[in-house]
Amino acid sequence: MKSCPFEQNPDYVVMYHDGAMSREMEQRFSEHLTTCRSCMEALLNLQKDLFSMGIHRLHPVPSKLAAAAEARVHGKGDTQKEAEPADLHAGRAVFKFVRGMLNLVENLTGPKGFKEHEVPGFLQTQGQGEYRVSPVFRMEYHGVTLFLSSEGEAPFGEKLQPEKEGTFSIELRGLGERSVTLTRNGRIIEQHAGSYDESLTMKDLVCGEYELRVEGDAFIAFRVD
Amino acid sequence: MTICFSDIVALLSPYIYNYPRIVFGSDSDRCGDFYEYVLQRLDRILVSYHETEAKFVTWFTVVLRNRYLNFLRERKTGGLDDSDCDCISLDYRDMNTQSLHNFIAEKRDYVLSEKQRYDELIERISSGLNENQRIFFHLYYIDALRPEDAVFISVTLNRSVRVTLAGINELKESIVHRYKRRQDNLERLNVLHREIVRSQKDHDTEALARYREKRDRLLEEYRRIKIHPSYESLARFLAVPLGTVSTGISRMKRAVREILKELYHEELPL
Repeated sequence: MKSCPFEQNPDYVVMYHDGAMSREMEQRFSEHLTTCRSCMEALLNLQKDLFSMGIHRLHPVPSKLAAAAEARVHGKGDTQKEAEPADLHAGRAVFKFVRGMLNLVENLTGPKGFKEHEVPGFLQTQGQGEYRVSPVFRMEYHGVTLFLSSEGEAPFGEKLQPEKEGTFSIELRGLGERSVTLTRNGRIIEQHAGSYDESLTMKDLVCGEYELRVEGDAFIAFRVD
Repeated sequence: MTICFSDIVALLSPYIYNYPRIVFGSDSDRCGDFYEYVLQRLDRILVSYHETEAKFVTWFTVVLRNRYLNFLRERKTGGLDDSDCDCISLDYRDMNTQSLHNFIAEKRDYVLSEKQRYDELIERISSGLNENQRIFFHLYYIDALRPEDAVFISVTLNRSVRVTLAGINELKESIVHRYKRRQDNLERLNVLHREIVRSQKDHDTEALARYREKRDRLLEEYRRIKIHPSYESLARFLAVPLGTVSTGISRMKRAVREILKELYHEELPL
């Protein structure tokens, strides 16, 4: 049975609801909604929930619960601070291109390794009615989020950029004013200093040994085969 | 300005705590349990958020719904909860005396078996109506809208789903005050329900009878609040004259009455 490729990821419904998709993607998702009951139900539920939450008074959280929550939050904060090891990103992640898609072969050790993260716009069609989601990998460290994804794929299964097969891109969010240096095989290939709109994207990256530094500090090392 | 985790918790707490009450009609005990459940996981939840053009609150609302369903599932499998419904129970309603509005316009999932019954009824009515009547039916009984109905409206009116849903939202906005009154009644019903349960536990028959009487009165009032969009808002949504809406609804009601008569072998008030 064909399962819905969007069902597990709330981002599609959220972005569609708020009109945050590109026009093309919105059109595609609109078409999808006319045939997928579960996505449409999720959308209607979201609309209902937002409507209900918007028109009703919010009761204050009972003081006992609020105090317990505060205690937990502070306790958790301290624990995290003490427990955080010096090197959360020991080792090196290894990625490999398999049939044009990036695969994570070896993850970083530690709690903040790469996680597979599906985002709208990275969907491929394989044969009639069968979907394959090209993964986006994500990791976070010190408030910076890194997304790593293969290129050469257009949203919703149209392979528009065959010349970009075997290349990948990195997107960094939450950099603030921090500088970024990316090296491949020991050579600096990109260097950015200072202000970014919301994110910094480095495209057309090919296989090799990479090291990314943020404000001079080692952020992550990885290899792409 | 730096916002730390405790500030985020303080900002989100009322939203989390009130979510089960407002959306699912849960009582304060369950709201408290859910609040703790979410707080234990909040750091992990927030890590999974990534910034898009969409609003944070939209994303968070989707997450809360999913988490609430997980919370209920975990309670059920953990033996903490053996009910198949939330805390307000309206399932004692007498089928013979209730109006169609009460039957189909209140589609909150109090009891799973009721939801199924609603869906079946709406399906039978929908399939017996012509295209125009069906459009009026879904828009007039807007709370009973199912996913397939939204698609039907979208396809029939040749509008994108998003435009259709935005229009439906506007129809709902036009009757916010009625929703509020109904929600106030639900809250009062919730309180009464707890009192009834307490009286039952205490074997206080006098108090029990008093609370039941109050509940019945309140339910009657609750039933009288009809959540229908105004003819003006429907005319705007459909881009037709007011008279067309009036005629359309009247014809739709006549057709629905016939269908119900056939189903239940008696006239039901609309």
